[in-house]
Amino acid sequence: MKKREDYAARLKELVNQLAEEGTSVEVDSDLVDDVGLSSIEIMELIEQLEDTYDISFPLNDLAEIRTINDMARELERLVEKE
Amino acid sequence: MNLIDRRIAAEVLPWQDSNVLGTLVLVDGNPTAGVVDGHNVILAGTNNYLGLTFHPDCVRASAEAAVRYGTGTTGSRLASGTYPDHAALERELADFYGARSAMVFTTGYQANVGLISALADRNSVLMLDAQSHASIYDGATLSGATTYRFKHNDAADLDKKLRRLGDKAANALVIVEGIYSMLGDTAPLADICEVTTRHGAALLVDEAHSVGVLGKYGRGLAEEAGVEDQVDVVVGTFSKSLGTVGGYAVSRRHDLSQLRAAARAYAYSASSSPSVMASARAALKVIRANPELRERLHNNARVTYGALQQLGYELGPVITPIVGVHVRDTDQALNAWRFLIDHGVYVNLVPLQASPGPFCLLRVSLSAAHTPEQIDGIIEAFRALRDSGPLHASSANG
Repeated sequence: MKKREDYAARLKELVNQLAEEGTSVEVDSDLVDDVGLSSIEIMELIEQLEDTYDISFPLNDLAEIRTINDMARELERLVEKE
Repeated sequence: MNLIDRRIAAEVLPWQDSNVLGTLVLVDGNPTAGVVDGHNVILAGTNNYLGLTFHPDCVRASAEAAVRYGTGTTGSRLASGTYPDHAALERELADFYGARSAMVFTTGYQANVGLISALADRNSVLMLDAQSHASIYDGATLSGATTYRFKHNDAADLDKKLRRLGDKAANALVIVEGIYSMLGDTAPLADICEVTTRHGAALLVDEAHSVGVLGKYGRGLAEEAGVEDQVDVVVGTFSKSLGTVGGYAVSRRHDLSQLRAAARAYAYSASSSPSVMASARAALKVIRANPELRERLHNNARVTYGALQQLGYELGPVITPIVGVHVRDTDQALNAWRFLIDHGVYVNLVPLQASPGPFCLLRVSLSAAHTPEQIDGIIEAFRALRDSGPLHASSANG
């Protein structure tokens, strides 16, 4: 469980860098509706994660990912699989 | 409110209030001049790379086929919709590419969706270049395959991702494009081929924007890069250099005709009208017989790209017949596009949603049919746009 929380904390930092200044970013914020990330920004975020953790992120799972917590769960699964 | 009301209410079109999407373009007897919004314009946003839409051979073949075979086939290729021109075009495409087989689809979109969903299933892996066309992404979704995207034109990232697959790489299909439609850049195909072959994966190249444009014989990027024997499948379209509509797939390595039933976009769609098939056949003959068209096209591209670069515009990385002018701001893009129409030039206005980066595009596509005067006209309109202030200068209609 600790690992997933660590991923979520790191993701929150990365999302904060992409979000417009003053946007409130929480681990259960919707990345599109609440944080306002564009699809290009989300794909940039995924590219960063792929490079950092040496993983490949399947596009098939993207529809299920709405929040930082969702992404942290997927990240944990993919890193463990490697 | 039912589902349809809610969906429509939620949908916001780019430049919704200006109603610019699907602007009426009036063409009358000329591939590079028309009327838009009441202005006589040079058409520089049509993908009509060789200007064949009004080639006399193509027009005549199309008209004769309509008279002889009627306006439509009213059937799928697997039922009553295979006429002599469909079969002949497939033979001629196979001959053009030196391929074992060819399949003709009703549109280019259907060629990708139909073929990719027939080639891959839930046990396969698809590796898509990040800037792939929507039809490639849609085909991937329909296939049910596990789908990854690699960084645009980055063979090293593809290599990493195929390596991570281990043994599964042998069950992967890599998909790239010859020329990417928004910025006009080309795939590093020799490197992509090397990586793909090393991992035992298969390779599909979409040559929609490169057939008739690249290669000594006009077969596209694979020909130009000298790697045709390393490519498993080439997909292409008739709706650009060939000046009509439709799509196709050819293969030097495989007998694609076995996929005719599995490719549902092929099996369950009405086939192209005979007039379309006849004009595509005529256009293919013109391309084969007139390499000077490509020279003229590339000269127009070189002159335009060089001039716009000199004017200080931010452009795509490579000189091809697609010149993508970057505009950072959505309102500026709309105003600049209108300014160009007011000054006699029509280009494509590309919204953020369809752009490969965080910018809109004024997308210029050149044609072999553009005269030197028209090329000057395009350049002068962009000069006037630059001189009117920053790119955001508003037009009279703005």
